[in-house]
Order: sequence, then C-alpha cells, then structure tokens
Amino acid sequence: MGNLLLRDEGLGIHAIRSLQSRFEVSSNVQVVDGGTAGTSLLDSILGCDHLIVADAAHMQSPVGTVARLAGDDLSVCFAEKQSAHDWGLCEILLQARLLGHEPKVVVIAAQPADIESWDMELTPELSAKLPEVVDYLVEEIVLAGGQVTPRCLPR
Amino acid sequence: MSRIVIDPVTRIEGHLKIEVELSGDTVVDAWSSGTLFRGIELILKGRQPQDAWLVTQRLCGVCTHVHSVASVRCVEDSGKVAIPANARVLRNLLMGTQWIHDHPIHFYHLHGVDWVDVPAALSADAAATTTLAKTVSPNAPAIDFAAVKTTLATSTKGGQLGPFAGGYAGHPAYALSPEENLLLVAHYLLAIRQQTKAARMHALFGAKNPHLQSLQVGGLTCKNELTSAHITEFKTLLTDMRDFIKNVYLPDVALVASRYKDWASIGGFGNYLAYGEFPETDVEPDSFLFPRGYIWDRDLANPRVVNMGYVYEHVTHSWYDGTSPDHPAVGKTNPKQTSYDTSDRYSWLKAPRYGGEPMEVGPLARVLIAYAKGVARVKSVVDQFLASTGLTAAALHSTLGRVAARALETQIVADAMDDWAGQLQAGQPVSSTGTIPAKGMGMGLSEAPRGALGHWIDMVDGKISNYQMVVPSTWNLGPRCGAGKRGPVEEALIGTRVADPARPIEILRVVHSYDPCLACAVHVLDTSRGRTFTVHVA
Repeated sequence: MGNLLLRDEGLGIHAIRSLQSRFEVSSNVQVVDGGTAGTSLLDSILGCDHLIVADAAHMQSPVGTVARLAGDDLSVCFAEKQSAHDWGLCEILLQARLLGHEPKVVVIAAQPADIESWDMELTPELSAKLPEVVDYLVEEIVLAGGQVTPRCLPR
Repeated sequence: MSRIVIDPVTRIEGHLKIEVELSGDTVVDAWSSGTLFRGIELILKGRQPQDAWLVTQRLCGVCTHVHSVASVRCVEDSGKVAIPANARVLRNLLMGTQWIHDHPIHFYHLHGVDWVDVPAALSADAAATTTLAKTVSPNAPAIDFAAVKTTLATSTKGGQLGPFAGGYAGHPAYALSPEENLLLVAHYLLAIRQQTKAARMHALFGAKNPHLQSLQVGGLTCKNELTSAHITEFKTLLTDMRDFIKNVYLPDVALVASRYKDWASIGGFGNYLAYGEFPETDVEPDSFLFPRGYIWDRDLANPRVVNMGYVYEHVTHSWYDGTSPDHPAVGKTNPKQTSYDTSDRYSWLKAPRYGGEPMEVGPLARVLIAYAKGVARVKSVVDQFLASTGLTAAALHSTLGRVAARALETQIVADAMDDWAGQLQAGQPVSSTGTIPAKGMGMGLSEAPRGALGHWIDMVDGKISNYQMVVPSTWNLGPRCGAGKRGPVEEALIGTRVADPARPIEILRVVHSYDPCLACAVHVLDTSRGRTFTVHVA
C-alpha cells in the first residue's frame, strides 16, 4: 500500500514492483498494488488467508529501519480511533472481521525519511533498503505457503 | 515500540478543518480549510501528456478512476481525438460503476453514523426488527437480526466502536428507534459485502482495482477482455447491484428522510453547477444522461447554459502567491503558506467561482439540473421519491436533499448502465488512433461521484508545461473568494443550530452531506459564552 506521489509513502508500491521484477510467485499468491485505495481492497482481503502488507510506517526508529510487524505490534492501530474519511488498512480489516473473516496479517514496514514531498521516487535512504524489504516479503510469502522463483536475468 | 501509524494521514488528499462561530446555539459564520498542499500539478510538469492519467489516478484514496478519465479527456481534447462507440460505452460503464460503488459507501459507511446511533441498536428487539424490515424494505434479503446484534456486541466490546467510531452515541439529535438503528446497521454489513461486487465490475474491464489500468488516450486497452463471457459476468454483477440499490439503499434513504424531515430545511445552498456526464452518443454535451448546466439561486424554472470561460480560481484567502484569480487553463500552483488566519489566508484549497459566484457541485447539483431541464429518466425517479416521502422539490435544497439526490442518481445511473451494457460489442475496436499536438492546450471535464471535475493541460515540445485540476471538493469546500463570498459549505452552515457545541453532530451532518474527500476536524468557537471547543471527528 502507499501513495506513489509522496516519495517514501510509495514504498509499498515500489516494493511489490521490485518483487515482481525479480521473482515469479506461485498461483496461490496474489500480488496486489493497493495504492491509495482503502475500501476497494476488501474483496482481495476477503479472499486471503495470509495478508502480507508492504508499507511505510512511523515506528520511532532510525530512517530506513525495516521491521516485521505482527500481532501485538499492530493492535495499537486497531485501538486508535480513525477518521471515517481516511479509510486505510485497519478499517478494511475491521470490516472484514465484521463479515467474519480474519486473515493472519504481517506488515513489512520501513521507517520513511520523507513522506511530504511531492515526488514519485524514493529517497536514497529508502531506495537502498528496497532489496531488504523485498527479501522480507519473499520470506513471508514462503512462510505462508507460497512459492517464489527468481526470474532469469535478462540476456 | 509504543505507537505505529500504518496509515499516514498524507495518504489521501489531506484533511479538512471546519471552524464555525456560534451566537447562542446558531452558526453565524464558518470557515472551511483544507490543511494539506496538493502538489500533483508540479509533479506532472515535463512528463508525457499520454502518461498524465497514470499519475493523476494516484491522487485520491477513494475515487481514483475519475482522475484518469478527466486526464485522458484533456489530452484527447488537445488533438480533438474522437473515441469509438465501444470506448464511450465502456467509459460510461466504468464511471457508472464508480458512482454505484461510492454512493452506498458514503451513505452507510461515511455519513451513516450522523443519522444512526449504532450502540442504540444493541437494545433493539430482533423479532420487532424483522417485522419492521418487512415494512421498510420488503424486497431486501432476509436477515438474522439476532446474529447482527451479536456481531455488533462483539465488535464494539469494551467501548471500542471500531468502524462505527465517529458518531455521538446517545446524542439527543438521533431520531431512529432501536429497531430502525439495528436495521441500518444490518444493512451497513450488507453494503460492505456489496461493494466488493462493484470492485469486481471495475476489475473486469479495468485490469485491476484499485487504480484501473485500461485507459489510454483514444479509448481503452481492454479489447481482449471485452468478451461475451465478461459482458455477461458484468451484467450479472450489475443486476445484483441494482437489486441492492432498489431494495435496500433507496428504502433506507426514504426511512432516514421520513425520520429527519427537519433536515429538509437545514444546510441548503442554492447555486448548482454540473459539467454533465455519460455521453449516450458522440454528440457532447447534448447526449449526456446528466446534462451540463447551472442553476442560480434555487431557480429550478430557469436552468442555464454553462460557458467554461467563466470558471476562475481565486487565491486571495488561500496559501498561494498573489491575489489575482486565474482561469484554470492558465492557472498557477505557487504555494506560499502563511499562518492560519480566517481574516486573511486559511486554506490549501483554492476558491473556484463560476461568473464570480460559488457553486455547489455533486449529486444534488446534477439531479436538480437534470430535473429542471426535464430529463425524463431523472424526473420520474425524483417525482416518485417526493411523492413517497411527502417532500416537495423545494425541500431538496437541503442536507436531506443531498442525501436523497445521491441515492436517486445511483438508481438512475445503475438502470442506464443496464442499457449501456447491452450496447457493448465484443471484438469491435475500443480505441482510436489520434494525434496529439506537440504544442497545445486541452480541457477534460467529467462528473466524479462527488461532482464536477476538470483537468486542464498545456503542452510544449510534447511535454506537459502546465497542468491544473479543479476538483469537486474544491468547489464545495473551498474558502472565501477575492470578493469575500463564502464557499458553498461555509454558506450552507450559516443558521445551523448546534445543541451541544462539544458534540456538534449538526455541523457534521451538513458537511458530510457534501461527501468531502477530506477527513474532517471541527473547531467550534462559542463567542457568546466565551468558550472554544476543538473536536476531532470522522
């Protein structure tokens, strides 16, 4: 997830693009560019057992820190009152829960350097961390029962 | 790790701040402020015009497709590129899908807590709700209301309202019975499930959702997806959506209208503008289902003709350099933030004006303009609603009118989509080839769910030299103009009575009825009692 127009806010989108250029995934894995949209992701979420999200996150960590968040790390986001006009991942997960569906959620997050400038490229700090984010994603996909195959290098 | 924000507030366009001044319990002045700079125009400079839509669609977190449509149209306009009939129909279907996706979400999920006291539903009698449902919406799917109560009790355990946060539980302004509250909560859950069907409709011809990928200058790229199997699947999903709209959404809106009749005289404005949408032949704008036009000062007897030369954006009270209004074709984006000062500059939104006047855009504008022009498919649906609720056409100039118009146009467009889907021709071209000039200008108009949307492009050496977007929320929520006239929401709030300034649900009803694409915080200044309330709400 992320907004491609706001620099490091687009980390999640850059990450899945990089993932897809480096690897092929098995047919039980759906890679979704969730972009800025909230509500329209519900269909995908209702159809999955494991949800692996790549996103920028404020973690009070040094810029570029990559972290795997799950379980209690994410509970604060469910407790916080959110605005109904600012629907994001948490609201959609709550909606899915209301419909009786609770996928296992893991967020691969990186601490952004800049999410305010209008720019479609990552900062150098986060750009350097992109391979690490993708490695985390690959590991999670495999742990969840997916298969990931490196693509051949272009001749 | 003490706190994690996964969804930075910057993900969507930004936040809205509403400040009102009360005298006694009545709003006597109001200021609407967008608190985040939108710099997309600057990003587009120097890029290929043909790529602009892929960038503009990333702007918004709710209706991404509409910015794609306006963008390809402004580039097509620069070279007078015509699109084939199949492309026109497909674009109508994709835009229509956006409307029927967004409007129920607004009613149930964004505006709902302004009318429905969710925790009060827990005290409803399930059997009585079943009886009520048979009266309110006899053709809606049967629901196990006891199970809904259990779900609600579980999801709101410990006072956590989760997705229902944002209302004012127990506020005396709520007028529904416990059973009516439960019925609407149950339909809220139904609406969640339903929206995934609209998302699938989009994906069938849009390659993916969110952020559809199948547009291009000249038409679309989905020729191989336009198969009879896909058309049939689209129609099946559409039928399902139409059933939901007719049997659930419309009856619920009628129920809310009947319980909140006082809101038919609160929060009205009076000037309306629509660019028009849904060309049904290649003659534009004459073939639009919702016509282009404007209405001045509630005068439904005299719908007027729009001249786009009269659209100007003012920046006198906005955080941009200078004070002279510009036509968007030559508009500038020179940010210059100063302090938040309601007597000077106080918003990142510019103030669009038509002939110097503020204009409301959106469902109510579209429906009233079509109604005033006597469009049969609109008039019959509106008249039927007025007859069933006992409201008059004049009552539509109101908060309730906005809620009703949104629902009515959802039905109108969904019905029209059924005709359009029948016009799709598998195997026929979905795009044309046209030439874009290396140097030139273009204007792309459309109707987003929230209202009139315009993109303006200026190109030099085959690259974008200037790009301006005037979006619906700017029309509705913009600040005062150079002449000091309030924007539509600012004006609509005047006279609204607020029972409890610490829980200003009345203000939220007015503001949310416009479906702002910005999250909203309200600041209430009570001069008569020397008190100030700052309330952060959904």
